[in-house]
Amino acid sequence: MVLRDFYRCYFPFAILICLNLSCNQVDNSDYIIPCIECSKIETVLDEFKLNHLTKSQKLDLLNEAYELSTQLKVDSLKSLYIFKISNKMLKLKEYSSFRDLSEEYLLLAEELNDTMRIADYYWNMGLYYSKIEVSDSAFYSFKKASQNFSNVGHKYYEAKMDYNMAFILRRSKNYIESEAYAFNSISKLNSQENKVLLYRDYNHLGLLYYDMKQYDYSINYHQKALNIVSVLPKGNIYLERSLNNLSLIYQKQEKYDLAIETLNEALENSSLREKHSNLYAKLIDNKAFCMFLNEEDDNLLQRFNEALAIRQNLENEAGIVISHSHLAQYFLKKKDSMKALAYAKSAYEISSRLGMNRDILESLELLSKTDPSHATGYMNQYTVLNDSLIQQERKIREKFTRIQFETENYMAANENLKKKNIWISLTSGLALFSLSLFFFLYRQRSKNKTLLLEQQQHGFNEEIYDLMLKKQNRTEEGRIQERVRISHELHDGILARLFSVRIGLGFLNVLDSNKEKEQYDSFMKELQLVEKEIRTLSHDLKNDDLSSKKDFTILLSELLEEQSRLGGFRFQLKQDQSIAWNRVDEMIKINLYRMVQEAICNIIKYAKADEVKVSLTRENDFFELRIVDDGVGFDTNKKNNGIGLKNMASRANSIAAKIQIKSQVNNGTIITVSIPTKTLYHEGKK
Amino acid sequence: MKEKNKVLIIDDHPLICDAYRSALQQVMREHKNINLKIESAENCDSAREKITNTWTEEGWDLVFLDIRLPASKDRRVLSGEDLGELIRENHPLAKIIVATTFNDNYRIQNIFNSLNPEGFLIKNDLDPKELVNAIVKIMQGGVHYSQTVSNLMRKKMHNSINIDKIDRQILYELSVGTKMKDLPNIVPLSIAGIEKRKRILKEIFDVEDQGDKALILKARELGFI
Repeated sequence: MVLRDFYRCYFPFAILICLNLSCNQVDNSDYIIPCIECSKIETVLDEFKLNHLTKSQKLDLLNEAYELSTQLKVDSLKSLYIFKISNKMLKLKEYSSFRDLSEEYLLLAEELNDTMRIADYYWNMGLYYSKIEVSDSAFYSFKKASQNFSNVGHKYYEAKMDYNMAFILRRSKNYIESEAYAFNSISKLNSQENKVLLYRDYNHLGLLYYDMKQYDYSINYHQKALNIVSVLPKGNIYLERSLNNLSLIYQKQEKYDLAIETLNEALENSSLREKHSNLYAKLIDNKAFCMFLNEEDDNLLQRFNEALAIRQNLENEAGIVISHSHLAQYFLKKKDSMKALAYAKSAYEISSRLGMNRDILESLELLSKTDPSHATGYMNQYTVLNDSLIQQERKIREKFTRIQFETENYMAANENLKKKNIWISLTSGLALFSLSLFFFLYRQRSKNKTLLLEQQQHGFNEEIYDLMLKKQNRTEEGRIQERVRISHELHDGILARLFSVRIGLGFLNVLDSNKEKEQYDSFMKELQLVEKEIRTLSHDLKNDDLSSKKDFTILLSELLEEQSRLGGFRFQLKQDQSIAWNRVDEMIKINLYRMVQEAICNIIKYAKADEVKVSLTRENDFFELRIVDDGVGFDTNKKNNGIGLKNMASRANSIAAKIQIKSQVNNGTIITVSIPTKTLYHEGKK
Repeated sequence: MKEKNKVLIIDDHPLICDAYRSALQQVMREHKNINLKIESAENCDSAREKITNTWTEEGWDLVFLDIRLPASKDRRVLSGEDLGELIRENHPLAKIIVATTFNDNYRIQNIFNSLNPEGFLIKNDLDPKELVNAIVKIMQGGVHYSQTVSNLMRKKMHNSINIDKIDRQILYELSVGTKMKDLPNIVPLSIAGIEKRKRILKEIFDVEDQGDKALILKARELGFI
């Protein structure tokens, strides 16, 4: 019986609050009035707010506003106004109009692909269904709204939907699930947000535990709710409601004194009677009932009647049923069975008319007590109704489970999709990665190939140099051999024969006259001079051999000559005569030659030098190759200095030489390669 | 003076042999007390035979010796120098006149060291008059050296540098362009040993830290090669 109280008391209240919030949310986007139609609609809707209008006048206004809004061309605006109008229709309980408008709103929202608006639609539908007490549809709508809010990540509204669902579930006696939704709702709230919802959740849990007869928990949650009342918006009746609820638990626990005390606390608010007469009636009715149960007869009848009078005045039929039921019990106790029966019958009639099943049951129970003669009939009726109610409840519960299951399936599908997405992105990422890896490897490989080819080319270059050297040596050798041969020929053959001829002639003594003798002698002298010349020639031919030892330096100077013509620079080649190149290993010479070649190549390519000086010197224990140019130079600190310099360094390394490259931008370059003399010659020994 | 002196001319050029004969005959014409019996050999083989198989108890009195000759068939006599040594061995009293086209100091010096000839004629310096004079002078117990040889001897007397045979050989080989790597086959030393000697030679000739060419030029200038 007390249960009934809560429904009546809280259900419309909850809807009102939610409805407000729902409107607020849309209002946020209503920043300017962008057109004439809009301003017209606005004025029509403003007019609607005036209190003195009758329902039909209000309806006319709403229809006018709707007509105007259909002319709007911007869908988002249109949907906004349709939403506003549909809300007002809901307030006016024009359900069919509301539904039509809502459907239109949904179409617009889907067209705009606006999840928030779709969520709003479901929210309103939820409210609508809970108003007409179609719990399963209400639950379904709230669930949908919750999903949509979840999709756009709106936690606060999700929490609201959870609360709404908890509320619906409790009304359908799905206590366990209702509890779960309430906790869900709390967990989604953070400390900064509006506390009203949190209060509502606590209050709901308090009521829930009351229903489940876990009174200690219930008291605990009501206390929690009372604790945050102080931070809630003023001018509301949160405190009084909570106190009322709390008192009902005490009443149930038969702590009537405590219950009365609590109710008195609530009644301290003097403005209640005028502003919230409904609650006021409830409070005094409850207080009277407590006193009645506590067997305190302090103007009890007067108190019950006061509450009844207020309710009758408010046309609060549900309240009247309770008042009648209380009065019936009062008169039953007072043994005034006539009055008791009258009130019980009245309660039964009104509740039957309103379809308030629980109240019907209670009034039937009362009737069986007040009218013992018809008790069996009433009890039978009671059992039938109770059974059907239980069955109905079970059906509804099953429906909820199904909806829950379906939505969970939907969620699971969503989850699956998410997982799929993750997999897809993961695999595509992996594929991309492996593709890039492959590409990288491919590039690396081709790079390696190029390097290998370069290396091979270097090898070939060296071979060419080697061949060049060999050729040089061969030609030189041939030249020398030829020279020696000619020299010998001249010396041993021609010279000897000339000599013998001359001496032989000298002993002929064929000439008599002095004049002829003189002439003869001068010829002989001439002949001797010829011999001498030939001999000198022969010697010179042989002695030129020395020059052939400079094969390496000849190659170098040839290289420089050729390259200087190519690169258009002057060159100087200085070399120390004391270096015995024929004793130096070919590998060292090849590498030195290559380094010079590389350096010259760089000079031609980059340095734009006018003059290049190459010197081969020996100082103390070191041999030094130095290449100096007066070109543009470069920054030696730069990391990537090209393959040329690296090659030179590796060449220097391979013959145990030290290489030093000094350069400044616009200040030429000096390359110095130094090798210990020992290394230079030791290598030659091998 | 004996009635007949035996003269051996060793030269591979018949014309030169004839020229020597002419000269000897002129000597005989001009000096009635000189009586000569002349024979000639044109290669190492016949020369060796004439030197070693003498049919009289007296040996050769005068030998004209060319240095560059075709080697003997058994490769045991390679040059006039070897023949000269044979002569010195078999005919201690014989006077040797070396007549050669060589005019490089090294060879001349080597010949001096091994044969110490009484006459040393450089063919190209020679004319008939000098030849006749040289023969007479030597027959009478004197010595005669061509101008080139005399100059060299004087130069050598003048400088104080004293190097041994191997040093000279190294210098010579270098001067004719022998490669360092081939030197150990010619000189009884290792490369290192040769290198060391060369360094000392450069010090002696005051051409340190310079190339071989400088060394050779200096040595030639000073008459060592």
